[in-house]
Amino acid sequence: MIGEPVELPAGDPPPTAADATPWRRLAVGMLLVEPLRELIRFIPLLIVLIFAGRAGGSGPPWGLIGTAAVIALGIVRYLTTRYRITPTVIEVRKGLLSRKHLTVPRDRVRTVDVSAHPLQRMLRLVKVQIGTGTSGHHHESVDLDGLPTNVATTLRAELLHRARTRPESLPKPVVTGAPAERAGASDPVTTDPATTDPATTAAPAPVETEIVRLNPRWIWFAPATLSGAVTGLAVIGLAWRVLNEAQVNPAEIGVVSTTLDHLETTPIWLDVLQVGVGVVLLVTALSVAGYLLTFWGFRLSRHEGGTLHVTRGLLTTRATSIEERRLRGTDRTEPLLLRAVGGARLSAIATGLRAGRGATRGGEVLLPPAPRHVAADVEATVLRTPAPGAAQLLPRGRAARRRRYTRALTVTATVDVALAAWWWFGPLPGWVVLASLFALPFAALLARDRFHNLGHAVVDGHLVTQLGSLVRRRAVLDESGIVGITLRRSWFQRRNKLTSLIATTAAGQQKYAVPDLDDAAALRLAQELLPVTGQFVTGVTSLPDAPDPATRGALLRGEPGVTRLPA
Amino acid sequence: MSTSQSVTPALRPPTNLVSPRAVYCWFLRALAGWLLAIAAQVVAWVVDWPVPPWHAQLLAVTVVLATAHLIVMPRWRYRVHRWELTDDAVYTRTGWWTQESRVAPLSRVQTVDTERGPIGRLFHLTKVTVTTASAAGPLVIDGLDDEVGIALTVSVTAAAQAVRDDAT
Repeated sequence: MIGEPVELPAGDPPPTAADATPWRRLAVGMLLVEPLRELIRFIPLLIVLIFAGRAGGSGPPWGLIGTAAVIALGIVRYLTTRYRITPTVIEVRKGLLSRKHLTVPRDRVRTVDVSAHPLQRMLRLVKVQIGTGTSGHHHESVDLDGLPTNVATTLRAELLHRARTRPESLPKPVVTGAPAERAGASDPVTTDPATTDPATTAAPAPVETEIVRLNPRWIWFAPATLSGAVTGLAVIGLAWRVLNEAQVNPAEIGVVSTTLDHLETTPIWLDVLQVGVGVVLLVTALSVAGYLLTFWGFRLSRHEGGTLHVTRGLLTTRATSIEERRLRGTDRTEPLLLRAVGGARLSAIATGLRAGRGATRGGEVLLPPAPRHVAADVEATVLRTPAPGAAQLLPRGRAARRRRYTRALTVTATVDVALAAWWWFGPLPGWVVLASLFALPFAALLARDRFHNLGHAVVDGHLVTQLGSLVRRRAVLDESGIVGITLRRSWFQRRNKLTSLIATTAAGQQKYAVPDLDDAAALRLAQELLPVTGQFVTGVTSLPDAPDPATRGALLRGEPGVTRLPA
Repeated sequence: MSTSQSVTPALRPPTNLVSPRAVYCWFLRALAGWLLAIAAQVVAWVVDWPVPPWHAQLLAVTVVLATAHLIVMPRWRYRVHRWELTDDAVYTRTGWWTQESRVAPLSRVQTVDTERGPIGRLFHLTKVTVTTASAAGPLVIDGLDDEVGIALTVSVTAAAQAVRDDAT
């Protein structure tokens, strides 16, 4: 069947000049890869079946049937998927029962994501995911699972490096230290002279500049991300399912029963200690393994064609290209433990890369958990300006602090009261209520940290906003990427004269919040970020044209003449 | 320090109210929701499901909450809901307990959707949704007269096309 002329089903679009390009199938190797991959997934269950010797259990073997169905679906997908790449568009046709025809104009391509799991790597095949600028729910990205590596590499280069045909997409290098340049330009970009050699910009061929690569010592940040805990839970869940299917009682497995016997002979405090140490060791090992699998060989580079390029992965490799024209900022994330050991993660805010959604999930990674100063350096290089990273954030006022405490303590106290009522009227033991009282000081600490982390600044055409405690985030968003402003006030906020400002954007998380600003400060910030807001504001004629940083700080805080720097 | 800071700045409300009939529309819509919740509880009581353990008390609380919501919400919401279209921006205010003012420049508007639900049709009311390239924060104007809604859709679409750039 392979190699025969492709039969076009009825209802195809009318022939055009572009039809000269033939429709192509995915690589034949995928017929081997997909079933093999499914079989490998099935191996743990097979092992359990063989060693437990209970294969003759009752009920149909759902696992086997499921695997067979997935393999059959894979073959059908291979047989029904066709693609072609013409000079103007990428077209994909797929589906057996409901035929789908996806067309992506090539100048709409914003991100290209190339990944390969180990089996694909053996056969030199890759999966290509092409992201467009749209971030709506009903737009899906185009997936081509099973392209030869060389085709994918050429495709990516062709799609994203159109610098020679479209010179206006090239960022114009501007020397840092000339903020006046920013005023009129619609898409201004500053270049850090330290990272971009002027000679390379003039070179005829696309030149790649390495920004950062993985330092093996960063792996010690892995346990602090607690990613191992998630993996551990997933593994336990999987093991549970496998054991269930094989109808094995976990207590009958040698290792488990030995451990349980051992724990029964030791006192309870030692049990807790042993289990605790065991869990910590396991989570650490899994976190490190996860970090290695995901980020081994991590490398972030900038192509002079105007893209950022990320490669990473130990077994499954992944290469993501982000068009810099679509970059709207960066997002620095510090979960509590990672923050405690001085680490941070960095991700890109770019249109076409909707954070944590769909096929582009994980495509926004700019830096794995690494030392905070590395994150700051990468942020400055990627944004081509160190100003947002170095910006002194303006703290919030007293009302915002009060609100943090009120919220944290009210929630905790309500739970405590409910537990106390349950103890009084019901069967709840009293020590639970006593233990729950210890949550109150932690709630106060949380509120304190949440307030201290709140801060914002507008620097060099970027909005910087920081918030959160358990996961502290510091987002830097280019003002030109802000497509709308929401000013949100609950009844409590109105009473306390507080406003939460939310900047909406087509990139990343789609919205970035600056919570609990004083009313006047929120209005000034809204006008600064989105000047059309000014026509709806009364009581102030205009914002001073070019306030010095100290004055502007006071302005943003709504405290004329008073400048208070964060402690 | 600039002298223009002497007056406290304030966000003025958008100029246009929605149709007064929107009050009834919101009332009916909320009533439908509450009746559904009450019906579910009555069924649970009649069939004697064990899951909510205190059927009578729960039902009483629901009825009290529903009454308060139905009395307060529609009129409060009517006073809050406002909209305005200028040469270069759309401006809306929505909500009641939590109120949101949203501003989007016309140059960033991507689509304008018109929607008429079953209860909206009853009162000849239209809901207009103005979306930007962001999946968050569309501007929703609920409870417009049909004619006003159509006129607004036409003018926003025309204005957005006139100034539209890449919009992302």
